[in-house]
Amino acid sequence: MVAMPRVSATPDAQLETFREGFFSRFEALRARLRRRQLATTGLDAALLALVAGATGLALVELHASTPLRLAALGTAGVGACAYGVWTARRRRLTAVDAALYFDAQSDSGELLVSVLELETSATASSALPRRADQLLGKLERQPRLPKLWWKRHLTLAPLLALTLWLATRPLPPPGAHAAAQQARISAAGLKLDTLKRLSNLPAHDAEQAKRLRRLADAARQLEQQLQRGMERREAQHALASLSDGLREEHLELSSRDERQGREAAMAELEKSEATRALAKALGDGDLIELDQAMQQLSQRWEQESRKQALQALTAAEKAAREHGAARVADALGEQRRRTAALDALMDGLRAELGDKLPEALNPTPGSKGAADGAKLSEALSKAIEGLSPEQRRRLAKRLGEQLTAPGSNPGEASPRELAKMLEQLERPGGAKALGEQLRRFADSPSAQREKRLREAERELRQAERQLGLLPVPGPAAPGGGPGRDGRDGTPGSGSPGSGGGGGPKASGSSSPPLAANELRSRAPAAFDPRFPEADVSRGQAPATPGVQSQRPVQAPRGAKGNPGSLSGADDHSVPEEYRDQVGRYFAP
Amino acid sequence: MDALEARLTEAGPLLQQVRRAIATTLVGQEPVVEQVLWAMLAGGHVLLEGPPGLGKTLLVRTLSAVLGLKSSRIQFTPDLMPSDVTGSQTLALDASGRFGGQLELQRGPVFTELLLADEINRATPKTQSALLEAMQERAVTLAGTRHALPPLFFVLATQNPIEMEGTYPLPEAQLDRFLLKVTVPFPGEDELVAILERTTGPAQATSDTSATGAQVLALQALCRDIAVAEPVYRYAARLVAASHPDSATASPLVRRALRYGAGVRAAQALILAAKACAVIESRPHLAFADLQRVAAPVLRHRLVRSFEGEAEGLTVAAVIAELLEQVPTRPARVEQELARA
Repeated sequence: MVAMPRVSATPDAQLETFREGFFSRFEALRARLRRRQLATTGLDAALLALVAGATGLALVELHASTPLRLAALGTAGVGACAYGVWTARRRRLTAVDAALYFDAQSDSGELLVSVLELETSATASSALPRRADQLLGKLERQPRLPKLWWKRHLTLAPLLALTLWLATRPLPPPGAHAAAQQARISAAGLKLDTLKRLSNLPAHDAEQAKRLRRLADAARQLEQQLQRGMERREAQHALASLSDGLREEHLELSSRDERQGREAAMAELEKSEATRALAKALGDGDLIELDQAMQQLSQRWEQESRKQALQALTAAEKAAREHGAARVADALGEQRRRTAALDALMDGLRAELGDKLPEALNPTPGSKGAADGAKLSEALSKAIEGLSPEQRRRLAKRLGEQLTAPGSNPGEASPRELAKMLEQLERPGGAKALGEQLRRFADSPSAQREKRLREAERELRQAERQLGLLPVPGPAAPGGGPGRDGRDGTPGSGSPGSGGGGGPKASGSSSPPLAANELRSRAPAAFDPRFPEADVSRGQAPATPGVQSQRPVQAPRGAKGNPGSLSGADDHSVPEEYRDQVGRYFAP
Repeated sequence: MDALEARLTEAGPLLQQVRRAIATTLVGQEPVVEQVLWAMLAGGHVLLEGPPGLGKTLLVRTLSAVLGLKSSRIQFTPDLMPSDVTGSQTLALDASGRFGGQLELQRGPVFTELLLADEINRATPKTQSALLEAMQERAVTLAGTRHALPPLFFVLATQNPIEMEGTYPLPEAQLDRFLLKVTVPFPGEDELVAILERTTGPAQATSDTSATGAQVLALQALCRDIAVAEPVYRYAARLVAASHPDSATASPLVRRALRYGAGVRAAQALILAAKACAVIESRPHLAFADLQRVAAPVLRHRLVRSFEGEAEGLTVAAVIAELLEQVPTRPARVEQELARA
């Protein structure tokens, strides 16, 4: 082999034709590659548009607005188009890039790119185009373009269906509920005076006093916030918290864990004729009713009745404490001490006045006793005022000697205080102070607390109605129940029922007072303010299983409801074992 | 048929014939022979590294015989002088047999076509420089006169990596003069058996001449005509740039293991050696794969390890492998499309 000559730099006509054919075929191949790229990009853009559109439409559902729907779809479409254009431009391949792509796919050792690059090279010869021509033929048959369909594109159809469904389904009505929830409310004239005075209540212990102060502070703060205006939801939450706090402060005499002690105390009280009413009040677990029954008992001036009552109360207190019912025992003990004090006072007065005592206490002929505790206090006060100074001194001395009662609760008017007041009766204003002291003495602190707590709850519910957070009761339905006060036959302030047999309730409604005797109860289950009304949302969490709720009850006329019972209906006729069993079944 | 096509068509069988002729004498070592042929076609010199007795001298002798080239050998020793390599002027005898005061040029062993510089690292740097200057300039200056070396001047230098006592390691700048550094591995068992059969018998086989010096020169010219596309040049440039620890494209391993990267001569060597590859495969254009094949012998003596790299035992081979793995051959957008295919 001799030395080979260098190739000529001038391509011949055949080579030129060859090159032209090569370039046109290569451009066609490149166009196919570009079309495939655009198709894949289009599918990806469509996928993006559907995802964005469906998400946007789902968000628009919250606002329920057709223009927002169109805006969401438009934004998704424009965004997807922008993505498609951007991706298409980014993926655009130059001729050299395309040659590199096809070279890599065909494993040709960079033949195509060499041909393209050396188009005008002086060293170019027909060797490269000839080989490239064969390669192009192979690529035209099997171009090995980028994949068109990917797994992600399988979601196109479901996404399209979802987007169409979201776009065509009727919009829900404008979100009144959501708007109302987010609205602000304000009540400049709203007063929560009863709640604010809770800190002055006679507390059972220091912890309760602290809790009552906190409730009063919370009420004060809520009142100020409502005057400034606050979120409706926050107001609901604050009122619900106050309601929960009030509910926790009630003295619960009918709890399950004290049932046995309560039953034992009731048995002791039922032994005496004088204390049967007390037994019934204790059975109802109503502290106020118990206090009222006690006041009626105290008004009797038959010495024997009071002594029997004292004995029965002492036995009942002991029985309750022995059976572990501490709260019941405390309540009975408080009543016992008051009765003892009054008994001592009445005995002292009897010793001074003798047969004139009934006349001094009750100037109205034919009446057996004072109407209530307040009248009794007034009568006692007048009777004591009528005594001579000497008689008063003797009475005070006797009380001081006889009344060595055990320690009294804070706020309770002690017999020693009474004795001291009697001594001071001669001084100016002493009579007035004695009257006040006797009036305080008439009500037990626990009963006072219960009354004030119930008043506070009524005020709270009134505030909720005023703020529109509770449905306003409809027009008075026939058979609207009497108020609590009407049960004793005196005119009460019963409010109209809600029409659905909601039962009687003692609320601060503005309905005119009606005579209780003229009313008939359709669902006479006693209203207990410690439980919320049925079917009324108070902004609290939904009830949990086992939590007792008050439900509307259809009961026969005259039936009496027991707040402690499961259904609110009177269940005195149901055997105790069966009630206990059913109670355990529904217990959490 | 195109002239380039014809030359490539003729080059293929010729190179096959040369390799077969070498194989009759030299058993195994095909990769070494292949790489030596790359260097010869590219017109560069080769630094052979390997322990003694692996056929380095035999390779040179066989190559000289097969290609019909004039060869010589210099055994480098510490007392070897530059003039022992390049030659010198001596007093010439006149007709009467006495020194007539005329100086006569005595050409050294460097004036040959195929030179085996055995154990080049045993000579002093001064002597090494004399040879390396001749390798670069392809000429020798003696007594102020420049003497050109033969056009087919090809040096195969050897060095022993084991015995470092009393050696003068070649500086990096001089190592750069070698196109390739070829590592001669120890033969395998089968190859060793074949060597024993051929060398311990009554007569040793000899290789016939298969090519001429002119044909080798023509092959070298053909090598220069191989087409290289711009992306391939870029890949070579990226490879070399990524070998510099200070480069933005250098990988963490390169930054840790190397003190100096390859230079411009390395990039030239990459392209030339890769072109030789293409010629051997009768291909008129260069591919990325050609560069990847020649990267190791081209770069391994040009990358200088750092102290940290030496302490951690990071080899140059590992760095080259990292370079080939990390440096992309094609633009990112093309790689993305290939990934989608």
